[in-house]
Amino acid sequence: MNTALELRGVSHGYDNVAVLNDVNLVVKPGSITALLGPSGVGKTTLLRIICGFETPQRGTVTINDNVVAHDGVSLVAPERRGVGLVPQEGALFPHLSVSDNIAFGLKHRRSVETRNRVQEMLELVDLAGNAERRPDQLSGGMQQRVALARALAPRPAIVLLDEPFASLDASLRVTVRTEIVAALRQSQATALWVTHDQQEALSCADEVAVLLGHRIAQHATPVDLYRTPASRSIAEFVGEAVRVRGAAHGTTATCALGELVLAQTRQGEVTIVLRPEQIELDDAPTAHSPRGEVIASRFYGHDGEIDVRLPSNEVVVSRLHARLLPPVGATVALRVTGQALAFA
Amino acid sequence: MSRLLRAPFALAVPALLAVVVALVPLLYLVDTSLQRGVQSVLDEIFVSRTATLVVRSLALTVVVTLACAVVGTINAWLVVRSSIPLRPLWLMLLSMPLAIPSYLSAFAWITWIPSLNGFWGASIVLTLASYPYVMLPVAAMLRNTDPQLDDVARSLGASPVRALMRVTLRQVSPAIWAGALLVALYVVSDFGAVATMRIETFTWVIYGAYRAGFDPTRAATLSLVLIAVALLLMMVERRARGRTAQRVGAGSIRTTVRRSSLNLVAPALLIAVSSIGLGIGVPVISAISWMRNGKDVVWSEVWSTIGASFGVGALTGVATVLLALPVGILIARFKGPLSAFSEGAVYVTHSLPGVVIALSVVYFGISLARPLYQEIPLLVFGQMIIFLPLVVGSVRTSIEQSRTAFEDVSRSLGTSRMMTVFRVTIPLALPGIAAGGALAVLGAVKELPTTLLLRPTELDTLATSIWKYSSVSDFGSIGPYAVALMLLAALPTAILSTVTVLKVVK
Repeated sequence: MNTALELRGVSHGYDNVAVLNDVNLVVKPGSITALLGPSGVGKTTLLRIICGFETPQRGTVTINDNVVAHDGVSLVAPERRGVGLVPQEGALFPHLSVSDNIAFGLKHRRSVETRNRVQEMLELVDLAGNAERRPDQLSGGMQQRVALARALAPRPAIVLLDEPFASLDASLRVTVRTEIVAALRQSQATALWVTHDQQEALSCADEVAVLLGHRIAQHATPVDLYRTPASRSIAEFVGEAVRVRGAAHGTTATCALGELVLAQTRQGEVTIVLRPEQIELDDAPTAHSPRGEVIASRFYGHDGEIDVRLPSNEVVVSRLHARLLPPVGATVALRVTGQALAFA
Repeated sequence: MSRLLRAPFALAVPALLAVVVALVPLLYLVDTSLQRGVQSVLDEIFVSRTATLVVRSLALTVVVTLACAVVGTINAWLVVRSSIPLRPLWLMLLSMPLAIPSYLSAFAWITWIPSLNGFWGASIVLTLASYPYVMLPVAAMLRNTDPQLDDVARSLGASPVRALMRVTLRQVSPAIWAGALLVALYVVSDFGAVATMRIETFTWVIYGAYRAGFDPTRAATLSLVLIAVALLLMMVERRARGRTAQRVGAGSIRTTVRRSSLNLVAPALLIAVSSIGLGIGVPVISAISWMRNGKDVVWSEVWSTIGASFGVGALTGVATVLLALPVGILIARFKGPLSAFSEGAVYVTHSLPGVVIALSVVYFGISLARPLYQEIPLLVFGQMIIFLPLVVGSVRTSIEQSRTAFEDVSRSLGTSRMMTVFRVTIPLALPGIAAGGALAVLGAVKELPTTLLLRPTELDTLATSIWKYSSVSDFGSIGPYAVALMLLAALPTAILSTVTVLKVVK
């Protein structure tokens, strides 16, 4: 078995408006893959197709090497697909206790095996003392952990997490995220994690599939995705991007920030894309160093950003340590580290 | 819609059966009215006595509806926005008239003031019985509108009365409209009050024409005209409900209570006290005095009548819940042509007055189910049709309030669609289902015209006993029945209204 989930040429739409167009995606067993895309791009539709609540008009869905849907025909009902679902806000059954929620998908619900499995799952998500509590007595983060335990209990081929932390407040989100990833890793489950939060995708997943323009625009490891995005729109969606016009000559390009080393070979007029942290203040400037005027300065606490207007009238953003932030109106010399991206 | 969203067979078949069963008797009504040909139907409709009937029924409807709109809105404002103490208690007392059958309060009124007999008496009784239909939706909507808009209006120089008229009332006007149309629908369907007050409106004349025995065509034809009026009101009500104003902007609603000026509260309090005093006080005090003056009460008969009422009520409740469950689930969760059809059928049934349903079940019984005619199964069947829309509505609302994510998760955990209905959908909707059942039991215990037309001749329920004794003004015997019915009806009403009340007034 080499794939837990495979989508091949999946297309779907409503009322002749395409939502998904030729989506191809492979999820390897035991991996956590993030499906990253802006709101309204069809992430939830794709998830419902995998679960079996929608049937794709075109294409093939394969789970654990079994074809479950093909060209508008559903071959396997949702309840027989072995897909665990963790919806937004958890959706714990309010009429059942925590342990009954976890046992919901297990056969022979009164058996010793079931009881052991429920206990095991409770320990996995670190909620061992809460078996008899009601969902409404749990905090939002605890509810999410129970929802994960419930999805994992029947040992599904793959767990789908649908924006699981959208409803939690920012301070709680990072903690719960860490706990959920730890539980997924410990149980060696395969997971497809739907999110619109690029930080969440980059920090939690082994691989990130970017859903842009109704198709998978790029599927790569977080590092590759951030360093070498396949297109300008991906570069701008994944992380912040600074753009300047330039002229490429193979492995280098010249622009208002001087001569830069490119990540790929390019020729002719290009748009150069840099990350704000690649643009630093030059503490030993020469006569050739690019200079500009600071027109805005934002203090974030741990770091800060400045907007610098270059002589070419282009504005670039630089991310700096907070104590280095120059005042607005100052003239600063800049320097670029690392390789630049260039897109035609 | 995806193929997968289609309803499971085991759900669709009973649901379809339920709505067809509810509509079949209507065919017999049409059939009976056409017995002497289309021309005689038209002759019956276009004669002056029918026109008089229409005018009188509409006049009663308009008077009662206007009165209810005013009284209901004022009472709603008092319990939600003013600073009077014990507001939950006020709201509960103000909703209690719902528990008192109109024939009982009508009889109490004419024994108290005999000269009220007629149009104005019926108007008073029906207003007192049905203003809660306006008060409850308006109260709920007032609770959800932002009282700070009032403050803004005041700060812009509006007087308290002007702010109330121009801001608050504007915001809740959709609820007033919707409530008023419910009242209108109730008034055209009411049988008890008009029959007790001897005022010839549709329902009373239809009943009379049928009872007179020789003219089933007239009864059936007038029923069709009444159906047309009721359907029209129903459609207008739907429209009005669609236009509910939404709160602009997010942010939680702060406390709705405002210290209100005395010249607003005093008249409102006067109206609320009169609503309670006249709506509950008059029938309750009358019933108690009948009870104290009671002579020759055969207690064994009283107890067996209570038993019969309960028995018929419980049978109706169970049967209606069983019938309504698949329909409610289908409408709430499996959208499609089948569920649209069921919804339409339930919607039509909802507008049908009890007399009309009873009559159509009579014709159905005579032609098709002769052995069951004037037997308990047919009585339960008739009442079931009457209360089906109510219970379907209750089931459906409670299912729609729970998220579909629950069902999705259940299916992804290996549970089939039908098992998901049993393990997730129904348990989540249980409070709504129970409430629906309680409504049906309560309704069946109070229901008069259906019981009169469909009961076995030897069966007496509380409703028919009260009717029997009141039509011969036998004050000596009526007391225990009236008290028993009010107690029986008040208890579920109190429970149901407490739930609603707690949602409306914290």
